Amino acid sequence: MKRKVISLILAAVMLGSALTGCGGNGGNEAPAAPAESSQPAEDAAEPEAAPAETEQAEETAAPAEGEDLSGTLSILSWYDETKAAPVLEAFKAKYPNVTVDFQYSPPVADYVEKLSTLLYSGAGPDIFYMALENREDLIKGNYVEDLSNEPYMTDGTIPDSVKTTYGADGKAYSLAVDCWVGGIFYNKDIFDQVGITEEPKTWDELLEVCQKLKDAGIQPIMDNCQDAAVNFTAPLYGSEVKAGNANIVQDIYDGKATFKDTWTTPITMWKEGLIDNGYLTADMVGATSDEIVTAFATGQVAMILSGSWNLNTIDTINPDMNYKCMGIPGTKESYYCGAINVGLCINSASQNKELAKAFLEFAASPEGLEAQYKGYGGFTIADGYTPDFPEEIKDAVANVKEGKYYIPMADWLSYTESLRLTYIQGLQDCMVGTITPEEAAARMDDKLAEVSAE
Amino acid sequence: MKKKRKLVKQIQYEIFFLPALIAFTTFTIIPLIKTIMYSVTDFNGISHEYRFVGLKNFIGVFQDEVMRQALFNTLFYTFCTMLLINCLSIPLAIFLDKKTKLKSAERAVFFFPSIVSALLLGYIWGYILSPLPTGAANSLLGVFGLSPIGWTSTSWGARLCIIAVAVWTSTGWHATVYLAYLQAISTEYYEAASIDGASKWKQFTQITIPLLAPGFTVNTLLLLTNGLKVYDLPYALTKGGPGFSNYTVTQVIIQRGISEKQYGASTALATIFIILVMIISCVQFMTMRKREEDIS
Repeated sequence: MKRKVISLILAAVMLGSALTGCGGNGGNEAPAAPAESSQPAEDAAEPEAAPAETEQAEETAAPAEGEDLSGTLSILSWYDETKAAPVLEAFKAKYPNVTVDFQYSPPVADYVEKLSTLLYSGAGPDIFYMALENREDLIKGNYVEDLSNEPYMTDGTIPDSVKTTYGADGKAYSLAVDCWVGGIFYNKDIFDQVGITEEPKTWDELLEVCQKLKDAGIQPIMDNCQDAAVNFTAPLYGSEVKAGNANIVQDIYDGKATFKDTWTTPITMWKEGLIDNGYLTADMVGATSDEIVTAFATGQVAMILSGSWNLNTIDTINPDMNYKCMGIPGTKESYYCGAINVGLCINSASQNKELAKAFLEFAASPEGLEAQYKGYGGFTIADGYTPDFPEEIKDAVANVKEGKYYIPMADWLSYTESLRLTYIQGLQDCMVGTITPEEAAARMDDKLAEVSAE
Repeated sequence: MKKKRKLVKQIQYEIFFLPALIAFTTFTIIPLIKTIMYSVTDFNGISHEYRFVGLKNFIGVFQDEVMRQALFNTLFYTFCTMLLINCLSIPLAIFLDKKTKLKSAERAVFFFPSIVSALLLGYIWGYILSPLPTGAANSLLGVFGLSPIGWTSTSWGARLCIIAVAVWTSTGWHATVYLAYLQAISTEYYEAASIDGASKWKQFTQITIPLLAPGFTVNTLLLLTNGLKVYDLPYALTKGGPGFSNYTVTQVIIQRGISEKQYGASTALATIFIILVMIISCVQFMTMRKREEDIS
């Protein structure tokens, strides 16, 4: 009997401690619910780099404009704590009484999934990011606040391309301030070595360059065709199709045109020009992007398709490398790969809209833009701050700013992810020769019909 | 009074069952019911509004080329790995059972690949089997003056590479299971057989193999269930490519559900797959059990 009593007491203590433990941890682990948001966040939720301590903030003279705002602002960041630190530090300096409850989820799939779950369950953060992958869901689901009348949207700070990319029905839903660019990275020294003095300006000139390199025993170009954003066919679609008819995608969705009618041309140019001539080989479909970048940086290939995020990698592998990014030449003009980066949004169900708006206003201000450039490294396209872009990519950024780029995912009106997967699968199958360019293009029509019927 | 005491005793035991029941219901039964529920709706994972669509999603599964291909790949992978791993791990277990000075080291070497994450192994093998001349396997070919091979650049090449890596990864682990059963076989059987003049091969086929039957049941069941839900290794090694030629069922479920927000289609495939796995597992388990009984 005595043993039973002791056992019961012990069990009760264990149960009690377990429940207490649960209660204590919950505050740190759970996403900040709107009702709790006015409470200061726990230390665990603070990014290391952010100047978190309130005492310190009180000791320093805070700017007058930020003193009146206080509370906790929850953010689900696309960028990790190290990258976000300059932005959070600058924001904290401006708004010392606002505590940021920082959460991070790695992009793209994990981020999109986590955000969807949080929003669906009503526990979404005050601020989060809109990407091409979740744009449609967020706007259609009414999860994002309309930003059309915010000062940075009306005074010309944010370019129209952002409003188009992350908007619908004339409304803007996201504040994106920078972009990424991509194109053909070419090794200037190899070009000099085989006597190529000028960048190819047309598709035929590019093929001539490839032949010259091949004749000299140099691998002309490498691409694994695993990226829907950086490949040959997207910029070719921009120069050959979209440039001639700006409404072509709307026509496809309205049933007046088809993917087969419009995408067959760029895919055929790529297939017949580069693959059938042996400049690109089917074997490359199994290579990883890292291997291709390494091959380029070590001089094993003259050209690769890549983006601005690989500049540091190339410089690390070969700091003395002499290279540049050029556009993908079409029959008349060159187009680049590129897109507006992800943008900040305000949760339409947020209880802290005032704080959230203050954060976005800060993000669009010159000091906010500078902090984002330092932290995230995207190429600023918003007015108010002009960083020094690396020489290798300078022309590419200028062209992307002018709209000389094409990324299908920004252009497709809906079912973006389904179409993206079908598009890239079609290109790979085309590359290994199991289907024709027409069939690759027609697959997108089939996919659109399938998903829009659901 | 006696009945009451028996009931109290029974309840006392049942209380121990409760935590497991709650966990099982929360993390398995409820999601399973929800999966079946969503499979007859057009739920997209974002909107709270969805409607009943009947069997439309189930019909779509059989009309979708990607899903059919994924189903074939998964079954092919499961069959090949089950066959090859069983064929290789029994001789390996017999080899590891020998009393040599390096016994522990030998066992550790063969067991090691199974403790590393399949995702990590996929990426490592991706480098080894890279189609570029700088890939490890192609570099080796280059030493002998041979041209590089695009190991994972064709559908069948990639498929066979995935199976080869899976076999390399898991053979040691399954050999350990056989080893445990092997060590449980009494030496008296072999001694008696030797006295009766049975050859080594006769001893292997008439004593070792029949007494390894329970191990065969366990290993086959594990290989079957692991094979049918495979995702990480093919994804890490080929991302399901070229094209969608090496997609697995789990990859399609994840892709359709999470990436494409077609929860209806995704859960319909998941439901079909659950039923298929249940049928295969039951048939396999009953067949093996019967065989074990026949042997013993």
